[in-house]
Amino acid sequence: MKKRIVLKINNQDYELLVADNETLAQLLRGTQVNLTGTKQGCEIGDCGACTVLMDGKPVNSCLVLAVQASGHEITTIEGLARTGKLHPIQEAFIEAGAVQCGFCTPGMILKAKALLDTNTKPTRQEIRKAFVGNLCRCTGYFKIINAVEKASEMLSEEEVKS
Amino acid sequence: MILPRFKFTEPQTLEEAFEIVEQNKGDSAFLAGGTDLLVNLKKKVVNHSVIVSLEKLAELKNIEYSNEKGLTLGAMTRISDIEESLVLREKYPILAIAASKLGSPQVRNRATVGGNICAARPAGDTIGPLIAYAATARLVSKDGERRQPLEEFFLGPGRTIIKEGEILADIQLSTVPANTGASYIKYGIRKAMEIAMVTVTTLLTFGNASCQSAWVVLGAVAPTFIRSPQAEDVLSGKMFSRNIAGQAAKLAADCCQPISDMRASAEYRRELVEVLTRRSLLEAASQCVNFS
Repeated sequence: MKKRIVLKINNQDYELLVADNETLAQLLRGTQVNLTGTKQGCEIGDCGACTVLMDGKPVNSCLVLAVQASGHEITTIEGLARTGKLHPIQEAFIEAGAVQCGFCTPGMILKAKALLDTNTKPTRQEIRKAFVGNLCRCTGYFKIINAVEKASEMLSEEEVKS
Repeated sequence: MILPRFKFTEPQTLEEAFEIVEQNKGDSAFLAGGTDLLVNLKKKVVNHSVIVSLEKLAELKNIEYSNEKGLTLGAMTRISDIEESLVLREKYPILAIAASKLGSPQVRNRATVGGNICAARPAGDTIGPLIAYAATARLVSKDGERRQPLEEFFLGPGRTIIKEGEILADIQLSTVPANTGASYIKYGIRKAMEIAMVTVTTLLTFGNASCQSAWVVLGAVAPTFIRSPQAEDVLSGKMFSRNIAGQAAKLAADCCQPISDMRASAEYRRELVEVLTRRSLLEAASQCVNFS
């Protein structure tokens, strides 16, 4: 028997029927929600590709059951852009050339958001530490760290302007 | 990877949880953070037809500290909350440090201290510091409750004294005496996302310049976490010195029973125990006394 859950995804209310053994990653990517920006890599919590924010904190959505997401706020990569304008972190990833195959990118960007929400000016070492649970098999991380530094600058400039 | 079919239950009270377990004899499992259980279910290492989430049990989320009573840490406390707690960082620093070394931030935001304990892995990150802080575990069941020192909690890899129908409710740590130094060393090849080859936790309490009591707790070098009574004896009641730390480290290496596996050979682990115990003791002592 399926269970009824109520949750917010990218600021939008959802009421859904989910199977007991469905993961949050499967729910997000499935036909009901259809947000396929969240990627599934290892599916056992090692690679971080499926990272989403649950109440603002990064979690591996492959290791959260869909039923457990009930009552919580989920942010996926689709929730960052506003009115057609990319989020500064997304801009920074493009500018720094931090995207190669792109598979790890949604998880990386959401992890970056979680980091910059709590630490607006992280050092390179702090960035590296924050990303231990996000694997990239293309870039060697150098440009990803550059992108997060750049995003931190862009966000603080935005702060000054507003 | 698809999770096998199971029935998900989310009891609102302990009584309800006990009832679900009783109705599904031998076929249910408790779900805390899920970073272990869901992986094992996916890999088909375990199989359970009923999953009992502990998420809604308020009694398991209690965190309280007072200078008189020490710390009560609900079993459902997230590892990230331990890592970030200012009180824990100040009062039980090596527990906070060990928490910060567990898995990744994503894992720590879900994983719980109760889950880390009940998984009973010989390399579990929070276990060494908890034993060194003389933690006791409170187990509740429909027949009442019992309290056990964490040191006597583990029977082997993945095996604990918990009986079916019992739930780990919380862990209690007494106040740490003044003039106590502590150190947790996790040794692995990687700096992150690592299962330790060896962990060493030491805790030394000093009176004047002599060591009044010593705890030496070793992880990943025996079927369960072990203390080294020989190492602790040689330290207790004596003036601390590099020499004595070296003697204690040798005794610690003698008492461990490591195995060879993909992470390290038994011989290498034994060497590590000696080196790391010495290092850990020096670090702990340097927080309290000057020694040459």
